[in-house]
Formats: sequence, structure tokens, C-alpha cells
Amino acid sequence: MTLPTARQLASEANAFDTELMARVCARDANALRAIYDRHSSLVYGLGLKILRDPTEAEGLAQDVFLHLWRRADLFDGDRGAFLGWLVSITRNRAIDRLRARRTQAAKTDAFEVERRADIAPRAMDPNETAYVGELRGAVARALGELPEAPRTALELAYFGGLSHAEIAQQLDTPLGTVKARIRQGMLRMRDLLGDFAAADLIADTEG
Amino acid sequence: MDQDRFVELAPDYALGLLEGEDLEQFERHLAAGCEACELELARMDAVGDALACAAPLVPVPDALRDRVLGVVYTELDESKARAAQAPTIAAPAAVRPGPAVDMPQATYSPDPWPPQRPAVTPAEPKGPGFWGRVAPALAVAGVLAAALTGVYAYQLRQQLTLVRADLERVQAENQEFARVLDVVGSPRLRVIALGGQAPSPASEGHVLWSPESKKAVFYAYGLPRPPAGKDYQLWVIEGGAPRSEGVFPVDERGQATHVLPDVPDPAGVGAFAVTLEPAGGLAQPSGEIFLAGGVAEKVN
Repeated sequence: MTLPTARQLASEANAFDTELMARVCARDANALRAIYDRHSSLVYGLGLKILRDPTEAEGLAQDVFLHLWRRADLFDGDRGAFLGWLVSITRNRAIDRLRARRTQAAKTDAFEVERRADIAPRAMDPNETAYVGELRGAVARALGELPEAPRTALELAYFGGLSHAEIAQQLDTPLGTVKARIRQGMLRMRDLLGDFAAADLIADTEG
Repeated sequence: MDQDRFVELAPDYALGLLEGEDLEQFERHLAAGCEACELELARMDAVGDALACAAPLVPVPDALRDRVLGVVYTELDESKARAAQAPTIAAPAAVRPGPAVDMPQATYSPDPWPPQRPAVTPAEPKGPGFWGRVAPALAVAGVLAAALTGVYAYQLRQQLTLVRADLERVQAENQEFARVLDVVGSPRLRVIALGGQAPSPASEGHVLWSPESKKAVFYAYGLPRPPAGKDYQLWVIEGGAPRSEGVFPVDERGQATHVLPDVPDPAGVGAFAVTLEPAGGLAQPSGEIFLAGGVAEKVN
């Protein structure tokens, strides 16, 4: 009895997600419900982290899941894993919303007010895939190992929707230093994440 | 730009931080089929997916689920209604519905694969887009890559995984079929008809019940789809008291099959009923009765 590897978990989760998406493509609403239950914590949580506003995070999550329902045909499992596709759509749309909000705030010459509700975290979501559950643990450990400077720069880049220059301004640090920290942070995370950051996470499971 | 310099751009590209000249050159380099950069970018994208999981795990509002699924089921009904109006695709009830012919999508812009990374400077005008620029090169590179690398093997493995999933489903269906046969083969088989009640008079159902094995199979037809957050629940009325036989799903045609593993005492059972309850079911019925029928009719 051995524990499943990151590859096995990723592959299993992806095989099922891919099959569910094929069923969503054939207008199976129950398959969309299953996709929602498996991934709503991730989509909503990422949206909340980027947008820092529960109402906006709900709007974003609704957009994302209705997009999956209406345009399931856009997902091509041969080109990559479902999770990566979902994360990209969620993050891109969240950052779009964040920038629109900043532009709006600049126009009205108002301070950007972020109604950050302090929502108590939960220990686990039983509907989530085992893979995402493991990934949560792995990334928390990896970020814990990362020195503070690159971690802060990386978090601003990933969740803040800021450019290099904006991050440099926010951290009051030279641009070159910021660029180096982000790059080093990504490389260090790659190494710390081990198999979770393997290029062939999904592909190399049957051999 | 030399190879090392290109690989160095992968982290920023994965984060959507690359701009201007660097962005264009990196994308052109990728499109030319650089395997080293492709690999490094796959790792960086995986780091990005992991970072997404660093967002705190918080409870998702129940109302969000209801809203999303409410829209989904409404759109499904609408597209079915439209499909039913078109005479050429009026399919018999027994035929599995195929892919939708008419998807409401006018208001949604597609997200291409791979997803475009967010532009760092929103004000900057964009060119014809990554895929527009590199599509011809990719077409050629794709054919070569498929022939030269393991893409074909990768696709085969993907298919194998799907076939395995199919096999598991077929095995599960087989087991269910065996359980149904076990009931239907009973020499003292009973059929209890359930009639549609006030919320949906046109619904009907029946319970096939084997008094020997104490097992039963329930079938329903024409049940309206349960609203979001609700499930149908089947009850056995024993000595006047309802006992749950579990919740069951209804397919797109309003049909349902549900195996009752244990209907204990044939003499004590007075009736079967179906109610609509909060998702997952309750210990005691609380919702409207959709189907009901008494144990009177005896066949065989």
C-alpha cells in the first residue's frame, strides 16, 4: 500500500474533469454541477484573494462557471490540463475586473476602497479533488520556505495584477531588484514544489 | 537573443508580466518550437496553478451555487424547448439527447487555449494576437512535432484514460443491471403503481418488488427536474410511518431508476411515495408529494 503520487492524483483528477467537460459540451447540466462542486472553492477563493471583495468574487465565480457551461467546447484536453485552464480563466478575468476598478477609481479621483471582509477560512472542502487538496498543502509549505522578499514580490505579481514597475513603486525597491526577486521566487518555487511543478504532471502517468 | 536569455523569460511570461519587445520575441521563439522553453514554461505554469491554491480556502456562499445552477438549468430548458419546436429534431423519448444544436453564447467572448496572459499595460494597443501571428508556423511545427516527439503517444495515453473511465462506468452499470435482474426474476414479483400527484399529475412510476429477496427497483417517468438545491426522495410507508429509501437523480427526460436495497417486511409495507426535499434528503418527509401508490396490485 503506497500513497498515490502527485502525478497519479493530478492525472486522475484531470481524467475525470476532462470527461465531465465532454458531458458539459453535450449539455449535461449535472456534469456542470459536478464541475462546480469540485472547483468552486478554488475559483471563489482565488477571486476573493485577487479582488478582496466578496460580492465581486461571487460575480466573478458566476461568470467563470457560466462560461464553462456555455463555451465548454473551448476546452481542449489534448492541449493541457483542465485545472490550468480554469485557473487561467479565473485569474485573467479577476485581474481584468481589478484593473477596471482601478481605472474607475482613478477617473473618479477616489481612493480605491476594498471592502475586505474577513471571512474565516475553513480546514478543507470535501468536494475538492484530492489533487488540489495536496497542492494546497504543497504550496503552503513551499511559500513557507521562501524568503520574505521574493515571496512578497511574487504574491504582488500573481494576486495583485501589477506590472514590474508598479510592484517596484509599491515596494519602494529598484526595478531591477524586483525583476530578479520575482524570477528567483518562481524558480525557487519550481524546485520546492518538486513533482507538483513537473512539466509532464499529466502526461507521464501511464508509463 | 540567445537561448539562455529566452529561458529566463519563462517565469515572467507565465505570470503575464512580459511586455513589448520581450513578449513578442518570446512568443515567436516558442512558436518556432523551442522544446527547452516549452518545458520550462510548463513548469512555470504549474507553479502558477499552485500559487492559485495559496489563496485561502474559504466557504463558498450557498446562494452562488443556487444562482449558477439556476441559470444553467433554465438555459437547458430553453434550448430544449427550442429544439422541440424544430420538427426535424423531434426525437423519440428513448433516444439519448445528443450535443445541443443551439447554445446561447452571444454575450460571451471565447477564451482561447492556451489562455491569453493578462496584458501588463491595459492601455497599450494590441496587434493581431499571438495565435493569429503564429498559427501558420504552428501548423507546420505541429505536424513535425507530432511525428518526432511523443505527442501521439501522449494522445493515446489520454484516450486510454478515457476508455478506462468508460469501462468503470460500464462495470457500475452492469452491477446495477444485475441488481435489477435479481428483483425482476422473482417468482412472486409485485408491481406497485405510483400515480402523479398535485404538483405534476402527468408523472408516473412503479416499484418492482421481490418479496423473497426483499429488494425492489423503482422507476419514474415524466418527473419535472428538481430545482437547484432539491432532490427527490423515495419513502416506504411502513405501518403508517415513512422510512427513507434514499434520494435519486432524474435524467434529462424526467426518468429515474433507483434500486432499493432493503424493503424489510412485505406485510408491513402500505405504500410508496416520492417527495421533493432539500438536497441530500431528510429523515422525515417535509416537501410536496409528487408520486404515491399503495401496495394492492399483485402481478404473477
